[in-house]
Amino acid sequence: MSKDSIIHLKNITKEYPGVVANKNVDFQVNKGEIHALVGENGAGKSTLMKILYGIEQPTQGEIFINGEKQIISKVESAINLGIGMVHQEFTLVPSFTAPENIGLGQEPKNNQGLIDWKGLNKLVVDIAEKYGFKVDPGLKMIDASVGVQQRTEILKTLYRNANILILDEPTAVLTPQETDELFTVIRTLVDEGKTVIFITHKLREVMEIADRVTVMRAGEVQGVSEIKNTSISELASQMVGREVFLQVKKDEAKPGEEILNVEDLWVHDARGLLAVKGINLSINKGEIVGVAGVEGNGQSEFVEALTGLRKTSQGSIKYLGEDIASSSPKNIRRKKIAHIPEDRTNTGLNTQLSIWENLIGNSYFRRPLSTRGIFNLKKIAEHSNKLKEDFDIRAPNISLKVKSLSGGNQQKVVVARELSEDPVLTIASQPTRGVDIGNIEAIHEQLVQMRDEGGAVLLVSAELDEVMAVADRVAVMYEGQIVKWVNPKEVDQAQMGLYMAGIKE
Amino acid sequence: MEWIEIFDISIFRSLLRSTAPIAIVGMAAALCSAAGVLNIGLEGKMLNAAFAGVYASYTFESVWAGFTAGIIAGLLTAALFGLLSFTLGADEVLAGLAINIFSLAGTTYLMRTIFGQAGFFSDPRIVGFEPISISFLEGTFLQPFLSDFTYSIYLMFFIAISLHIMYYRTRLGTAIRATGENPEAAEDAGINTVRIKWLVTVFSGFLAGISGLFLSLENLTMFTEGMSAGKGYIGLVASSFGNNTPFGTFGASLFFGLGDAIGIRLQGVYELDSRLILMIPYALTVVVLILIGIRQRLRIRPVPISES
Repeated sequence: MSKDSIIHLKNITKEYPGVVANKNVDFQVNKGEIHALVGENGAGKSTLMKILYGIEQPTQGEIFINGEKQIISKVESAINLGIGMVHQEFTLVPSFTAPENIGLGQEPKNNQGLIDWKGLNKLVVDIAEKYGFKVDPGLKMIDASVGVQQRTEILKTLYRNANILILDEPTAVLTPQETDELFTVIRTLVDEGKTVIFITHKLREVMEIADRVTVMRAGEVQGVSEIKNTSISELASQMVGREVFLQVKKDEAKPGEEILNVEDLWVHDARGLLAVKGINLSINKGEIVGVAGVEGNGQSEFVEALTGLRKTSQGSIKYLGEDIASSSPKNIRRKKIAHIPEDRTNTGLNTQLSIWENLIGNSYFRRPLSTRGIFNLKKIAEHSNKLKEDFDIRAPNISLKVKSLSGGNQQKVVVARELSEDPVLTIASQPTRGVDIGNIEAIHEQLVQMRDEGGAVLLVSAELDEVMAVADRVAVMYEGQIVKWVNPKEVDQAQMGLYMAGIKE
Repeated sequence: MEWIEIFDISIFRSLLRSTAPIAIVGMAAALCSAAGVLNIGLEGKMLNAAFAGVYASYTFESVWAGFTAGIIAGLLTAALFGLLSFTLGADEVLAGLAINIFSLAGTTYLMRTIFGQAGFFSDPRIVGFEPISISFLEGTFLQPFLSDFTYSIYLMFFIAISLHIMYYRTRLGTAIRATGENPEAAEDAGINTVRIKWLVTVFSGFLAGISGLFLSLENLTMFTEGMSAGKGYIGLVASSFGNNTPFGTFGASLFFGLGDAIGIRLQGVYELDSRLILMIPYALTVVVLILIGIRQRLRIRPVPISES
């Protein structure tokens, strides 16, 4: 086995001030295999891969590539060693075409030293054909679908002669069908002699595509297994250190009167394109309505329209009988509509401010937190400390800046603030993104509790498991429309995948 | 005098003269903006180059000494901007502003202490650039269009064409554009974005230097306090209007140059208040900024609901 070892990270430790991201990690990949690296957010997978790709330097430990010890001090060295990485956030230049992006920095030159664009286009098309995918050399990335962008990223590594491809959470933004296509590409790559490292936290995908798997938790390796000798539940318990329940415990919903009624809603996005195309939806007291779908199908614009962050172009949003379409966010909040935004760091929080300042963002103006425009710091501290306690925000004190909290605790600050004002309607968009499993459960329980106390909840999430487990009714969004309403108990993942890809019945 | 008589060959020549300093510094701004550097400090670079050029030309009684000193002043000022912004991590806008204020005060101070003059300094010892006459055009109808211009006019065309080729046909050009649009993508491709930013900044110092020298050593051979008179800023607006491309910036600069040339001409014809004429470039700047705003709005054209 060891003679086939293409990568061996030996005894890697990486310390940041106050945090140990990797602790004595041993990670070994064989030539020609698909090796999954799994773990929760913050388990140290990304740090380990950054070390392999030369973005970070290990505090301690050695790297062996093809049996030879290497020091990878910068990305260029990693590329020269035949390592390529497709990041979770694509690194593409939007106004450049696929070949322009793929060739960037290493464009072929003609005799005059100028870039040979024709030669580059041909080169790119040839590589794409070899691995069985198509590429449109004239298409700018800004106009390309997520799947095409991802394939461009993969081609970029192949253009640079990568033999080892690191794919960081590649399926996070794909439909189940696009995921299948990606898996076909990955298998072709391996058939052509490449080695693939597949980072994910989706265990079902690990079982489907990988040959071997390394599980990490809290910066340490928990286990390495052959796929044929392991199971989802074994991997899951290694990942979180305990048995997980993907099920959310909840009783049957008891819907009451109608709270929100959206009728024929049309919304334009920032580029002036139609993002929401005639949505009809109603939410009743005491129920959680889910919106499933691959990201970028109008969910963001839909939520922005509901919360007053975006003007509507047509249709009505009736809340307790009153039309709130194109009303201001402040007005909408005053009517007890809470919003947990999808982008925690930019929309949900001011990360430069303290926990307490963030916690009173929606209530600072009311008594007793302030009187005649002056804060009552004592009352604010009481209020904030109570929320910190109730929502289990793990921080030494409430004066700490939010940016120093972990993603999960940051999200708890948002959730605590939003649920603290007894909302009638709660709009939760990707509420558990970047949150670890323990905290995901807590947030799900809070949403169910809101429901049981008579609140109405709209849950928009790209995590299919989440929507299916938490919501009572689910709308599937595709290209700005609701293509299907489902009862989450009566439909399976495969069917949902088809709906999410816009294939009805 | 009829309106049509305003547009004769002399206005064409005056147009190019008015355009050159704006276009050259504008292309410096375009290059920086394309790489994601907001270089407000171009104004100061021009001013320092204009002063250094006059000083060296006066001292050594040589135009090439003036040229060398002007370019060095532009490069040094650019290096100061780079040091503040990239090495020390200062805000680019503040660094640029600081340089502009410092350059205005510094050149004014130096002029008063070195030459003992306030307001402006002019002396027969200052040697300026002579126009270049292209001998084979002599006597042909092309002569008034193409010959007997000063260096920077020819340079302006040369720079625009070279920059265009550099932008779209060289690795450096794609690296610069990638750095400006998505620095992570550029870094990922092995491009050192800090080095790219330094490079465009230093080169912008060279261009701003040429533009500054045009002011003090070409048509006039003198230095006036604050003689760059906002041209560095106008260059920034021109580059923005021209989408930070060389040809686009050149086109936008022609617009400013035309306004200027017509103003100068009208002054002679209608005896307008000279202060009103001097205001034209600044008024045009506001107009262009409004046009940029309108263009941005027009770009976002909401798709009609009925089309769906």
